[in-house]
Amino acid sequence: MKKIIPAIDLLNGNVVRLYKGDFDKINNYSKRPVELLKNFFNQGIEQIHVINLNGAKSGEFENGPNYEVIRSLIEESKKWGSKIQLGGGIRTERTIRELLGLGLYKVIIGTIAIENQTLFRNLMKKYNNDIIVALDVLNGNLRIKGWLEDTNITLESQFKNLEEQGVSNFIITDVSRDGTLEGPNFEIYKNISNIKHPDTKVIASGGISNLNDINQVLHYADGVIIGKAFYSNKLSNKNLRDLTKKYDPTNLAKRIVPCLDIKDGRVVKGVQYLNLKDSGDPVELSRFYNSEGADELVFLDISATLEKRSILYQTLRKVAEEVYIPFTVGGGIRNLNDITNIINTGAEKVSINTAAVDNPKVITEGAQKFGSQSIVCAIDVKKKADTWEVYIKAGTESTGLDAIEWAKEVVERGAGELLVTSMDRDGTQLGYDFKLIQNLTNVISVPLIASGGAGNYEHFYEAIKAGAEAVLAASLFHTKTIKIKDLKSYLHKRDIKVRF
Amino acid sequence: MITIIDYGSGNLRSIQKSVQRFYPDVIISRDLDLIEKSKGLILPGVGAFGDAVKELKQNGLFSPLKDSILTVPTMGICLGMQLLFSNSEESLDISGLDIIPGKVIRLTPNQSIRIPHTGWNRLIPSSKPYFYGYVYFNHSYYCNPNDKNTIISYVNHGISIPVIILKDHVIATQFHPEKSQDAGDRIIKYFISLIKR
Repeated sequence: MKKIIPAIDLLNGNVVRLYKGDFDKINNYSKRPVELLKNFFNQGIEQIHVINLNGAKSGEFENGPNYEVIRSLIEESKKWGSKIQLGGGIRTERTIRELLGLGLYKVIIGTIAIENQTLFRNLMKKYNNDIIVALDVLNGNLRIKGWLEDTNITLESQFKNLEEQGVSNFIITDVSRDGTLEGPNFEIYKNISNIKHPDTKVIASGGISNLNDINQVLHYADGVIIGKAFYSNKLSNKNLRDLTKKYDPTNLAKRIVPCLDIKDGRVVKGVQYLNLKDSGDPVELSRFYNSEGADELVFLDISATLEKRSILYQTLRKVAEEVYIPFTVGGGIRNLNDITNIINTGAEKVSINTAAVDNPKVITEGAQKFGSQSIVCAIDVKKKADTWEVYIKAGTESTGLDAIEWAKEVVERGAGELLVTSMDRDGTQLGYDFKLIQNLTNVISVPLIASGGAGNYEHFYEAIKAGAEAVLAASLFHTKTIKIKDLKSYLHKRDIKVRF
Repeated sequence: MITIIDYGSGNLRSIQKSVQRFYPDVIISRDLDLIEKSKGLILPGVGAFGDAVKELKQNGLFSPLKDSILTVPTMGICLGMQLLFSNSEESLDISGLDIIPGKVIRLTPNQSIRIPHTGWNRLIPSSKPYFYGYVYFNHSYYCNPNDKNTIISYVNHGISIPVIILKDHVIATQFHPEKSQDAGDRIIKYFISLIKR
């Protein structure tokens, strides 16, 4: 994924472009920044670069002429689930805190990263995922204070230095190209791409004039800021739309999925911490998780007795009719009749585990009747030397099946999603089995829900990086050790797409 | 009165309750008299294209429903959207209602794109009325109308998938508005505005 990032430069509340950062050479483009922002979002753009030029010049942020406009831009971006990176005059912790509090995605810092090392190191400790460092270059040297001042520090040395301090997001601008449409300075980005850490993200800016420039610069950089090329009609809305699709082909959010164990129509295990009036009531719990921002729920029925199935169906109906959250149901599904009963309650998906091994044609029948998208195959595995073995009957019985081969087979038979639990990791909070996720997602084309082992934010991030489309946890959420809202903001800041 | 067409499986109460928050008089029925009297119709759907068309035909709904949709504001949801099209790659020998000329096509996966398209994706509006926000999908086929001007919103998932179609008084969504919270509510309210117009 690479980012196409249109720029909105604000001067006295209006959208302008400067020529080579020179405040005496201004072009006015628009008096309606919010409308412009909406136009970009309408093209599928996900991130916008906003510069407060008054702030950049004066070093002041609050009370400046752009303050109200910036607030409305942030408000609008939240509505669309999109992101704003904002720079210009952000020089105190108070300003950063305030902006992030408003819901800003990332703050861009330039001058203080170079001029005030003590402050900067402190900021990095608290806000390292919220900060982008902008490095402005002229003739190989860095410039600060709205590009007006030369520092005599080279780009490469400062870049390495900042990386060592934990900076993982950069914008590098060649001042001599900015606003010129002369083409970017490809050499800079090529050199930096050779020395940077693989996880560091570098956004290129300055001189972009056409599609060719963009394609070429994105060969080296992770994102590109588009300014004058758009405002002078060298690039159209259609171009932005096509570029976004090419470099960032899906906006599908990764899913956060709490799992609830149900027995005789009641939620059991580990949910007593949530301080709900009736923490055993599936409807109340679903409502709680819905308001917390859970993207889907998984209900695992552990009652197992046939007489109790009708209680389960009633319960699920109530969830579908009162909460509207999409959910998947597993546990005790043996045949097409069971699948039909579950779908008829209003469940999106049915998860099949033991029956898939005992009688694989149940997957095929389910997929034919309800479509692959309704059939999830749950696979519980234990590590065995360098492979993973499939277990059934709630993990009590080994099958001798190899997890990778089995996954391929169930997908072939029509499963539209895999819910893969590492039994070795389950309950350990040591992290998902990333290798397992990676090996599976390399050979299957359906989405995978990772399960078993989540203990901290990083674990969710790593599972998604390894290829999971969705991440599942149970007690970690039920005990509020991790709140879904906080987890989502963490992932959002680390460039994982999440829904707000 | 809005009628949700009942021709088989799925929990239609979920759609009913969701719409009733903005328009109280919503029934679930396959009764032709009631369908004919309705001010608005909702065509839901879970399952396969071919089976759904067969169900509509077996219940004697196919032709009367087609006549009604030509004059009554209608919302098609997920498979219900696909049924409004001419035909589908899912069931090549079976024709749809053909209210919206076009074809239903299978989504194909690639390295970074997983199919089925499951979860929350962000709307990219292409013409008015603009709808925005994340909405919930769960499908493997998508609708491709002949008249691109009827597409009012896409999502990106490898390709640009048309996900809201507006043709005269018919609105159709590939996602589930009843499961899509605020963004879904805006679609439902718009559908109701078509009835009141």
